[in-house]
Amino acid sequence: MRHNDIGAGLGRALRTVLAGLALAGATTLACAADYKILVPAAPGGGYDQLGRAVQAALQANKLADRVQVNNVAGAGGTIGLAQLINSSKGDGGALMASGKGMVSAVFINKSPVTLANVTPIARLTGEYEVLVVPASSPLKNMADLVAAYKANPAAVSWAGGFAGGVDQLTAGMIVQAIGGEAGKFNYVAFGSGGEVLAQVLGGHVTVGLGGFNEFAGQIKAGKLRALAVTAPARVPDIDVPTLKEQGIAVEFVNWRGIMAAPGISDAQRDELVKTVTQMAKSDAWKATLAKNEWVDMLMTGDEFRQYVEAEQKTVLKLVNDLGLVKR
Amino acid sequence: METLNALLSGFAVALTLQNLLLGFVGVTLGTAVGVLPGVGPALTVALLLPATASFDPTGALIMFAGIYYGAMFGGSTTSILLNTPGESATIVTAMEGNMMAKRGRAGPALATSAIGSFVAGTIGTVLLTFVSPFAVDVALKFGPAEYFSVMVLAFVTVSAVLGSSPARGLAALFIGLTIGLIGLDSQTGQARFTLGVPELLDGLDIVVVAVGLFAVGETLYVATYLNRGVDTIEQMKGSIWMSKDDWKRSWKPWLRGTAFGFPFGCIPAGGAEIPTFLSYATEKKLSQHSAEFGKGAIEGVAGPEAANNASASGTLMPLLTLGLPTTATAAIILAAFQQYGLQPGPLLFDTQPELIWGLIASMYIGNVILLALNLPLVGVWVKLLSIPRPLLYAGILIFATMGAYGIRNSWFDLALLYGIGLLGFVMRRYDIPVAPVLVGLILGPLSEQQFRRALAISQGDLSIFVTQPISATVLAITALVVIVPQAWRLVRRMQADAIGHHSPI
Amino acid sequence: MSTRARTDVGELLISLALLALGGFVVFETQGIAETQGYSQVGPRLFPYLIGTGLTLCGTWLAWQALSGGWRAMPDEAGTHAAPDRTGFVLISAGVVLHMVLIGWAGFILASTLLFVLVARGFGSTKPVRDVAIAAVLSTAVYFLFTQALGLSLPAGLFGG
Repeated sequence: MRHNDIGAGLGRALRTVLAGLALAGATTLACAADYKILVPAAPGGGYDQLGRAVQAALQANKLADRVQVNNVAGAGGTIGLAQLINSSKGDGGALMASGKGMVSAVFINKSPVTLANVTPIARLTGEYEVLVVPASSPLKNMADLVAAYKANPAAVSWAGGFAGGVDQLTAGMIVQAIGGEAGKFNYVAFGSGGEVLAQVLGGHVTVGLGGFNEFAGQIKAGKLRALAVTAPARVPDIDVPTLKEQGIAVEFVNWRGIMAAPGISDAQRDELVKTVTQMAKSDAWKATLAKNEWVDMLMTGDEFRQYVEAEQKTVLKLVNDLGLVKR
Repeated sequence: METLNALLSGFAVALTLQNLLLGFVGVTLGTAVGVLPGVGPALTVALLLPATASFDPTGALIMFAGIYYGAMFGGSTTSILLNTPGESATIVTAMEGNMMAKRGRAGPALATSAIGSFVAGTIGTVLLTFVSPFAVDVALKFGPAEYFSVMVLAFVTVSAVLGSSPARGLAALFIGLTIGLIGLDSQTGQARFTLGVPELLDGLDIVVVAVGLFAVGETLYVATYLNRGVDTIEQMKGSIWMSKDDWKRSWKPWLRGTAFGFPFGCIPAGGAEIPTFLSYATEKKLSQHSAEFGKGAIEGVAGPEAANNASASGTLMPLLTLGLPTTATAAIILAAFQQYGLQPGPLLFDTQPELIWGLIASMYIGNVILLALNLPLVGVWVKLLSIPRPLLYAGILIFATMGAYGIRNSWFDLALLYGIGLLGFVMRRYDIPVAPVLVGLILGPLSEQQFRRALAISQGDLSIFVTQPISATVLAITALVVIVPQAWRLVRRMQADAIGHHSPI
Repeated sequence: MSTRARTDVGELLISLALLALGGFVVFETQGIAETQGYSQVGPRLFPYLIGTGLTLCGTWLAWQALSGGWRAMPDEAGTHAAPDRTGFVLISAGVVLHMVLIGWAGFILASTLLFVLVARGFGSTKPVRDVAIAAVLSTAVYFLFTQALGLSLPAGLFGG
């Protein structure tokens, strides 16, 4: 036992020293609640940034006493999803960062658990997809791209992220909307948005897909031409025509939000919705959105639950149409 | 001239007390995480991101860049001393470096890697300063076909790391290739060889495999077979500094390693591992001491170490000029830029000259700090070897398990770590080299994906590999690498035969 | 080339294991759905090639094992004569127990136990010293990573 005391004492001393070093953020006196946010991806990615931003905003607004972020990476987020469902049932303090990518990963990875098993709390942010070509490309708008595709579907290569991810879903929806066969388009999957950017800039592929922020710098610099953005209507800071404007009835938003554990009581759920809504309306959150150039897409409670249900249906149909789910 | 002025004003930014201090913290932290197996710069920067949100962006980015190239400096230390690569880019260093250590030459091995890192880092920064736009244009010419050709070249040259027996070396390479197959196929989204285990869908983490094979396997092997009363590992023999001969044998590999590393850093999906393989193969071919390779040749440490550091500076070029991350760490540094509302790319040089040039200037300073920090540390590191064996290996395993567990807080990765450790133990026992496993694991998935991407773009037309000029050139070089030594040997044998026929007469 | 009188069982077993692995890879590959898309090359080609390569390597090594032993083996007969099985078992136990305990007992306790067992496996005869160093080291690592870097490691029994 003795060494444990020594260990604990040393731990206290270390903790004090490190707390100064760590800039861990002010500890508040207001005792609200403890939360654990499960981030179903490695540090640094989109889910992680969202989870940590929520952590900071909850603490800054004194809505929570202690917020812990826990990374459980793997399989497009389905490993984290399974962990939340299996080990936090009924825990009103267990949250998880989630989003559209997870909806499709569940189907593609044949995950035994789905988003139907968790309690949706709020959609927070979203990003529109954009289609880009190099500045030197002969394609000037969507009509050119559609014409090129119709002339020879195989010759049009669509570059985006991994198979079954949001980029391929977007491309598949567009192909369906212009009368092509969803499974029949030359999609080339790359490892990251950065690789897609390089391939488009180098002119190795016909068209690239990705989140608007990934290409924003190059679009502004005039090295890439944005053919279309998947927003429902023109977005103030994005000077790119929408697909709808160009006669293609496709809308797509890569949303991200917060889910809670399964099996929590209605009171617990309402409490969480209230807290997250308060956070999402705070100045601290608005500042975070502005700094990261995230689009505010707040949607909460029952409305969000129905939205997630609808998303699951559309995405399932889409991945089937695309031939991504085998056997 | 304009560049020079910009650089000078950059030094004014980098030399402020705050930025100097943050740079110092960055490179020191980088050295530390580089030394620890399983804890890498990408993870470190990612975890520091939220804590630094309120920092001044220039200072924070100077610190992050410092962590990145500091880790490349530090990664070689455990490779050399303990045969446990701190980073995947220092796998090759472990081969010759650890043999040097075993012969009591840990000091010179550490010194040549520190000085080589400094030389490469500084040349890399000079290139970053003056040739950025040109080099980036070349990097963009690399599409899937070009990458695949480079992979072919890499596969051909890795024969240098196969070790004493081609049969066992190839077996090890194929084991690595097999491990690389595990996971989702990124072109079709299908699971391959995952046996229904969801944890395997993302494939095996290279860090877990490297740490398992080297750290856990080595620990088991040493405890089982080599632990006979000797309490410390290898005692130093001779000077801990480099001799005149060491210098003579090191400087050319440093420069050649830099020449391999920098361009690979610039191209997306290039990474720091492949240039270290190429550098090693080249040094082995060119060295007058090629018999020493595999037994601790200093060239085999100097070249690859320079290569991995040069690639770290190369990585920053497409990141700053295009906003194009080419490695995992670069991707996270990109996230750091975005956290401050900055978008790296051509416009950043115009809108944020102070930040960019301050960052570049800080790299010159950072490299000097690293050299000043690491050279005296050589003496300290070497003393690590005099820690009693039980404590040293016990400590290594604590860090190894923490690194594996920290990836996703799952016991599954610890089970994997032990399983791979057992594999490493058996391989070590039967003299099957472990480095080719990692080579296969790195090159296999990359080459398969690039091959299929290239063919998708060409609609199944194989000629794309020879009709694209860069790809064709690389393949031609590959052919030369294979044919020339054989032809040379043939000519020599014919000459010898001719002399043999003539002499009796 | 030194020819040994008897075939090394270990060498033969490893060769056969490689052969079996190669066969397994080829077999499993048949279960992958072939979707070539426009590249004419699907997800099966590389697994087939790699499986075949493994099989060839296994055959090559098995032939070597049966015809005088693997080639170019270093002379380590002395080293391998008397393996320290206790050391091997203790270290394995350390790693496995760490895996089992980390979730429940927490990082600090699990790592302390790992350290002590590994040190013991290397023949340490000073358990008190080992425990002390282990506790200090794992506590320091724990707080360094959880407090300074925000990495989450399980607190286990120490946590609330």
